Amino acid sequence: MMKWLRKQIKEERRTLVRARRRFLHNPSEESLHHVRTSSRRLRSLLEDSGDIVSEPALLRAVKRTAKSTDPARDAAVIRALLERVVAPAERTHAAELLRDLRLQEELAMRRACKKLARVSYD
Amino acid sequence: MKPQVVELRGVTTARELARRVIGTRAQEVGRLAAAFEGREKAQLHDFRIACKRLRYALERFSALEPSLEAASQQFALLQDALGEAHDRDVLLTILPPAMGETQRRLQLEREVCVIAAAAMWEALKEPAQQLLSHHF
Repeated sequence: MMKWLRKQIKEERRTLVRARRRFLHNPSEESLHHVRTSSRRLRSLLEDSGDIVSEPALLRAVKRTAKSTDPARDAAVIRALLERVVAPAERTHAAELLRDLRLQEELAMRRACKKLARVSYD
Repeated sequence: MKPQVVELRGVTTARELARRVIGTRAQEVGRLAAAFEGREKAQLHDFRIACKRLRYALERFSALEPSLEAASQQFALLQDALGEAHDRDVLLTILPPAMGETQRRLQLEREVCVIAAAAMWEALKEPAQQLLSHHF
């Protein structure tokens, strides 16, 4: 059972490392999504098995990954939602908020790149 | 919301590991399902996170027990509906006051998402109970 668990952690870690590499090479909403998904899966595995497998440094790195990428994801999702739901008569009011969200998205993406480049999953 | 610790001392097989993890995560989901009564965003958010944890566990262990895959797909749909409601809650907090019509649209869509999620949960209650009873 421990062998199975270790193998799972190793595989999930490898998936995250690959996703991070792709994101740093080509930052985009899609590559960011892959980083976030793979980090959540690894986090879930580490939390589920924490009673018998202790990987505190890896768990911290995975949590840091989520924290570093939350703002970019949030800005992108909220901006896309606003573009879709804005009432035609209120487009002028939405324009400033949309500009802010696009700017936040760009900045957050750059910050995510910088922060993720420094995270170690070893 | 911190996840409940899964008691794993004495576990020797991957199947038993699956039972303990899924049982604990299903219990969390069941406990937080009261969120549908008040439909408050913080409670619904916690319930969504618990569903996410259960879903990942179901996906992981479906390699050992393929019957778990259907439940994991159902929980993914439930989680998606709650995620859509959550995104609307976030946008509603930053929407300028002059955008009343958009606000009403978002509130309506949010309600539709929560109602859909509540219906999915009703359908999932029994399978979740079975997971809790380790019937797999």
